[in-house]
Amino acid sequence: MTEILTIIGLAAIQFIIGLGILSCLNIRGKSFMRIALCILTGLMIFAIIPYFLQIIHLPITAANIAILITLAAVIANSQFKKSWRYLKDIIANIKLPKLYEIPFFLIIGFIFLMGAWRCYYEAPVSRDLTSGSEAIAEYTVKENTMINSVFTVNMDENNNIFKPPSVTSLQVIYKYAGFPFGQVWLINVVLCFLVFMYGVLTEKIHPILAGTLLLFLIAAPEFYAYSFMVLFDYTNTVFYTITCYFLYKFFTEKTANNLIFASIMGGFATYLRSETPILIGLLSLILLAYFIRKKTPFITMLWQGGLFLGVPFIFYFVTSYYYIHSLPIAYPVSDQINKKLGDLGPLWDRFSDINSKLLFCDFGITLYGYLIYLFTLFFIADMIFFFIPDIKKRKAVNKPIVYWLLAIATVYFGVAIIGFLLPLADLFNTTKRELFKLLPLLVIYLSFNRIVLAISKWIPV
Amino acid sequence: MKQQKKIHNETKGPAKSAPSQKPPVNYKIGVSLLLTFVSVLIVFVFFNMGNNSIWFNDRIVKYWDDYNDQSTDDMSIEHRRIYTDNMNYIMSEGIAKSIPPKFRDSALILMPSQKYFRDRRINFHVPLPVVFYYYTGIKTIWANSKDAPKANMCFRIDNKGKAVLEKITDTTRLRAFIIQFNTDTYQL
Repeated sequence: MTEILTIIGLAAIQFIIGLGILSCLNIRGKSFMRIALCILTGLMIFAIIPYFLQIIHLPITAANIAILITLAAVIANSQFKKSWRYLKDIIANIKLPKLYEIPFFLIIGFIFLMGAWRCYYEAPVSRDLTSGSEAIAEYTVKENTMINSVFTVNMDENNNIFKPPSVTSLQVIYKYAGFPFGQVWLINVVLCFLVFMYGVLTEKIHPILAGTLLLFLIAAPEFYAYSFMVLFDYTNTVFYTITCYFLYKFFTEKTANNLIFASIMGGFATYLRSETPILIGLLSLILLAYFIRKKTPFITMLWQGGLFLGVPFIFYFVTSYYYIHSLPIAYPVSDQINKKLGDLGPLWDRFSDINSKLLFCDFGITLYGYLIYLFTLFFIADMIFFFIPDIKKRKAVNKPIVYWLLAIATVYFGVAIIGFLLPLADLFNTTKRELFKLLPLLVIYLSFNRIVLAISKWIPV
Repeated sequence: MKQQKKIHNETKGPAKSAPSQKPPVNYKIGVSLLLTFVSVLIVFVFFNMGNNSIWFNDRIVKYWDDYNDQSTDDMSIEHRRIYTDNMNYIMSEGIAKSIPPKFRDSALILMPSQKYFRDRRINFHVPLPVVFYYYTGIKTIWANSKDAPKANMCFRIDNKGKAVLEKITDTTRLRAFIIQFNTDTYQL
């Protein structure tokens, strides 16, 4: 019981920190979606704190972390009246679920709870975690520094200690909070992500269809497994999806706050996986195309584009580049990069392997469920019944659909590019997990698909 | 203002056609019940669909059974760690406990490979040195490391099949173990 209260208490503090940030940026959306975003934002601020203490050479103790968390909550809510108004707006707009949403909530809730229990009960097992972040976190708590005795152990055949300190930081905080295995922070991430996704889907389609699509997402077996087995990929997927969503909001609402929020989320995604700037770089091409099409003034283009790319790159330099160089063991990053960039054969090989060995095969169904096939079916149907006729009639293309297809393309091609640039990113481990980022984007695309929209309009509310 | 209105509209949910007349309450209840039935049907069909059905029964139902066992079982950290990591954790802990306290800080144990244990019918996936350190606080090294000659202890199985942790002072003996262990491949 005490542990449940601790999880809720920490989530409440994360909410307060996130509330301050979201209210400053005036982020709009459904109430539950905003609550989820507040917690996710606050959680990533948590993830910065122990690493920040490390950078400024202060001992990573429970007291120092508590002081900085309090300070973060106060600074984030320095415009208290704004935060308060925002909170009142969230509460005023909370809507109770309809009866027909409940079967979906019950089954999704049950599946989520089974994962949450395992996340709490089981010790961290993934080798990537126990040979990296978890080991460092365990000894950080004992020795109050991230540069601890773990680095005196033989590290041959192990590069997991060089991964960004985001998960280490969260593990440290939750270990101090009384969870010897840490990792229960992932429960917050998963729950908030499901709430966020449901909010995004119900913006466009009927709750019954939104619930069905969410079922496809939660029942993607491999993706679900990482919802209780702590590693970087699930959380990275969450923040990359939010980045794509707020970039889309920037295009539709044309308000800079959405772009700023997308940039911050992109920064958080980078803090979780250092390869993310490659995908953000591809996303920025969509932004560039938007600027050109809208004939945006050069100065606006420069600051907005600079912001979107700059924040993730700052995160990359502070949390990956600087972190690696501050470690007592040398890690030649340049050695990890493919030296034969002129030879594009491996890029094609990786791309075709992704399709034949991971996505469109029986093994793919055991990894990602039927989502890939569902997407393909509706994508082709949309092409035949809407896209091609629109082109024939010289009608303007549906911009949201084009955007979400391009966002999907950033992952679909970007993951192959990552595999090509970094040969250590192997197909059946790294690439397999990198492809998680595809799943929520496919689900969001489906909510914009015109066949799905037609079905949605047909269902009474 | 126009912008705000647009934003507000977008957050309201799926587009609805404004009815000229409010539908009667009975109609609303009927629709709601019908849609609830459809929701249940979708969930039922979804989890009876090919791989979804296998996944649900093999994973979620199993997790539910696990939950029923685990929640009424010993909740201590040690028990949960053994439950999760099983043999690897028990073996690592066992090795660590056999080291006299005064050697714990200076010990560097040379570990054989998986194949070595497999050949002796022992189910032990030798942890990476960092994982072993995470479990026990004791340093280990694999025979294929350039630092292997720095080892001052060796873990092995003797001719009677008994686990032995041997303190090594003789470099020739250490070299012999390194050669023996290094002929097997270590698996990550």
